[in-house]
Amino acid sequence: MSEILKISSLSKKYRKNSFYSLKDVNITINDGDIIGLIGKNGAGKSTFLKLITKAISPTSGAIEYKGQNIHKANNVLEPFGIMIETVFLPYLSVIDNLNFYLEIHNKTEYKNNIKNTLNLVGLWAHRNRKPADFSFGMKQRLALAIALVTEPSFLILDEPFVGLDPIGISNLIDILKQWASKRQVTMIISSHQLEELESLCTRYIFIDQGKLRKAFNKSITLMEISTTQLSDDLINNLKQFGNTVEYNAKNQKIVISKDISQKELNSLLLILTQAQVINSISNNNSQLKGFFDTEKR
Amino acid sequence: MISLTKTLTKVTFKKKETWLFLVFCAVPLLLIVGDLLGSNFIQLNAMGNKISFIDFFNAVLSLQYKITLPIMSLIFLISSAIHDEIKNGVLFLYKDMSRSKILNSKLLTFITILFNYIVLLFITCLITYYTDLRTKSYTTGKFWGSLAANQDAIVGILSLVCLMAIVIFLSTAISLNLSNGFTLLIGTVFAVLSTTLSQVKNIKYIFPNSYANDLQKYGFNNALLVMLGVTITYLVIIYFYSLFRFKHLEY
Repeated sequence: MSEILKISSLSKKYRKNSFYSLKDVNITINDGDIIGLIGKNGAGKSTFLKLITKAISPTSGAIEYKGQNIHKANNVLEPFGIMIETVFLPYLSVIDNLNFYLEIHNKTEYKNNIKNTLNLVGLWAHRNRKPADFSFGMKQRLALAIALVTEPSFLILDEPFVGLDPIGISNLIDILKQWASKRQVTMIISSHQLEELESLCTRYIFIDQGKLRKAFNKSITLMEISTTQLSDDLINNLKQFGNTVEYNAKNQKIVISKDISQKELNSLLLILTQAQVINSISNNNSQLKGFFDTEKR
Repeated sequence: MISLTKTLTKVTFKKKETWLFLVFCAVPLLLIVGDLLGSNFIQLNAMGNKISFIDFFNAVLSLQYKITLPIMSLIFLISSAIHDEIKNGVLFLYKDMSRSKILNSKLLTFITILFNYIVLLFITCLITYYTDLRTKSYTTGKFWGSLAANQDAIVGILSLVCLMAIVIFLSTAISLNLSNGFTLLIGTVFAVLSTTLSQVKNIKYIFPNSYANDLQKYGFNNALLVMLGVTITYLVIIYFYSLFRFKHLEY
């Protein structure tokens, strides 16, 4: 995967503040990455996103998109779809808002996308209504539709799941996953909804007090089984499961990947149960939740 | 930029604030209504010479400027199109389009709306003059008057258009930084001062309309030139200030 966005020593100190809202952030984002941006409220996530979308200028550092410093040229963000705040023109109808967006960016060829996009976010039935009297969730969905209508190759979404019902969330996750795999869309998604992030993202960036504390890949672990000492025969028997099962003799733990099939999982558990070597099983469903629990301590 | 201006103009005409401004173009028609009702609630008088259409149009435009209500609604429109969009993050929709392109398109949009206002007012004045006032004793019933009166009217009209253009640029600049209330206040104060101080010795020279008041002194060509020169000076200074502020704006 090629590098698409390079952030070097990025810092931001607002004029009114004596402290840095973001300090010395260095990270590289590759084409096709789906980045989950996580952190507590006030950590600097929005500042980070606003710097990428050029709503604010950095105090120091640089952001390069495909080798070009984004703050030194206009229209670098042309292939971007941006949803940071719930923005639209309240005096225009839903459909007129999308038309407006397409016209100002000379992308009227995407007018054919309007119906599909509005159907995706569940607003087609309300297309002739003005969003001024919409609920927050509906306004959020309109902002999302505007971000998606031009089929961007780089998506920046700040809390995109807020305001969507469970079906809407599921639909959005499916579409984003599809776009990521078929269209090689790169995404940065900031959200407090960890489950949704985990179903989508390939990498995570954790920002805390303006600093990038940790960047890590998505875990592929399904569960970990703590065992007694395994016999050599049993260890050899585990090899039939290939890379999906890994035995760590030092920790006496069997790590099972999410790629394991149902049949193999049942077969493995049957083998271990019959050998009576299982001490405990830990479910690793929520890597992020576990991460935050660790951060709390 | 033309394409962006067209789109912005199209959507700005969908704002209520635009129509609140343009509705003042209908004021001259009240004269017809007044006459039909046999009411004296609006009356015109002319001292000395009778008024031609161009005199009438100049008088109506001058009255509209002096009562400040149309100007206030124009300022309100501008501040809602600039300040509210910044405050509400609407600039995200433009992504990283050139800020000068956006500013220029917005200014052109406001100028277009002003142009529409002038044209609509001209049309309503035409209707009023030729359907109602033409028969009155104080009108000539003709489009043009004497040479001196025409020059006086033309310079008067142009000076008011210049003032409105300055108000547009000034309101745009102020609304980049300050709230709608401050923009309305400062813009209105400028409009009021330009009317009152244009008669005051020495100070009057900073207002383009003062040269229209002293037409006899300067002559038609010189008055026009100086008036346009003063206006352009205002516009250039305010424009470059606005451009600087807008380019460095954070939202």
